[in-house]
Amino acid sequence: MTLISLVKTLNLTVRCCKEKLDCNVTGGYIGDLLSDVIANSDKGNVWITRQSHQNIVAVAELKEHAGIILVRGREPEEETLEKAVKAGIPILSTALPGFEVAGRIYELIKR
Amino acid sequence: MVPTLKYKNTFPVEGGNFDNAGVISLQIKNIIRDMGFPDDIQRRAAIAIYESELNIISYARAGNINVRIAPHLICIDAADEGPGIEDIDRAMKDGYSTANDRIREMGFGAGMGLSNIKKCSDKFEIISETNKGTHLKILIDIN
Amino acid sequence: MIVVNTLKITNHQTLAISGFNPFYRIKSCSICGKTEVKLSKLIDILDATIMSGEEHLDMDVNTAFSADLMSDVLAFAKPKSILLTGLTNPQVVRTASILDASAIVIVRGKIPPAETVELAKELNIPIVLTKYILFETSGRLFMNGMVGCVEKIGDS
Repeated sequence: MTLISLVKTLNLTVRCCKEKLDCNVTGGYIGDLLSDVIANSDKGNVWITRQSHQNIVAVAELKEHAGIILVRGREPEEETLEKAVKAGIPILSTALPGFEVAGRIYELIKR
Repeated sequence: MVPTLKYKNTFPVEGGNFDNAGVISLQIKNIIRDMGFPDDIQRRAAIAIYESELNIISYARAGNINVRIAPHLICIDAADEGPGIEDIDRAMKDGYSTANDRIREMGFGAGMGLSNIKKCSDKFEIISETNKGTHLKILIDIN
Repeated sequence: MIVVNTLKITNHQTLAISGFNPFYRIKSCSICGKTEVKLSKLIDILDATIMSGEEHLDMDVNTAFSADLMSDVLAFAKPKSILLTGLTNPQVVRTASILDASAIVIVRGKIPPAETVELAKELNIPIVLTKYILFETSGRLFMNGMVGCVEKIGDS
């Protein structure tokens, strides 16, 4: 499953790195604690979070995530977007809560 | 007319001590429940007090939470000795926070507190002086 | 499967689903409580164990909230939701109690400290432990008909 298919199916808003959406998504990870995400997420995961601080980009870059989905209406801060563009990490956003986003992505993966 | 008070108490809160965070809120929630107030009021009061408690614990040296309950009104005053809030408008914005890593790792300090208090109250006022302290005045109207 | 954006259930509340999503499905009304998921079934779905509140196994669990930020939970969770989290400190239990959450699911195989379990027993809130990560936990429950706390930002 590609990131672009997730964007289309869940109607996510693309905040940056439109050109990087054809990458493959290996799974999802929900977490709001950076230390947890660093320790437990995997390469190619799409990371679902409510954190919008610029540090999320470094974590996604380190763990080679496919992208970051900000949930429940959270918007990325300016510094976050700048860093994400530099690192080539797509940032997507949605008004849906994390549970729903995870549920729908899970359903798509299992289908 | 001054409404008759059904309950009045002041609870001291120690800055930096997270072990008991929420104890006061739960205690007052029980009192409000026992007085027969509806679930929604119990919840709103408990959340507002909990957020106030967390603010004092997270940022101040010490503080007091004063609760007064009248038949149709709940008044909560949370006053602390602490750094104060430099920019109240900014502090009211969701996601803005000056919390340190310790607070964040516990799941707090995500910059939702003040706006959440506002959401739970019918009247909310912040009085703050830098390097002196902050006073939150919260009113919940039962009608 | 019912494929609609707005689902009208006779004699129950109408659920307006925000946003376009062709795969949205609901097996029951999340508001009136007519759901197929009970706490005992949730435990099956998550291969989980229960640490406190065994007397609540027959309780209905309709809505779920996944978060590690208690601040978010305090701002958005609805009463009677279950709280899915990776946190294990006693504050999680107090937060759940303040919000009238119906149960706590601790994910990723974490074992809560004794004080957390003690407090949950005292406050009569079930704690359930699962080895799955929060994503898998949410996904499994979603596939079984549970819904999230859908509330648009700015509503109060």
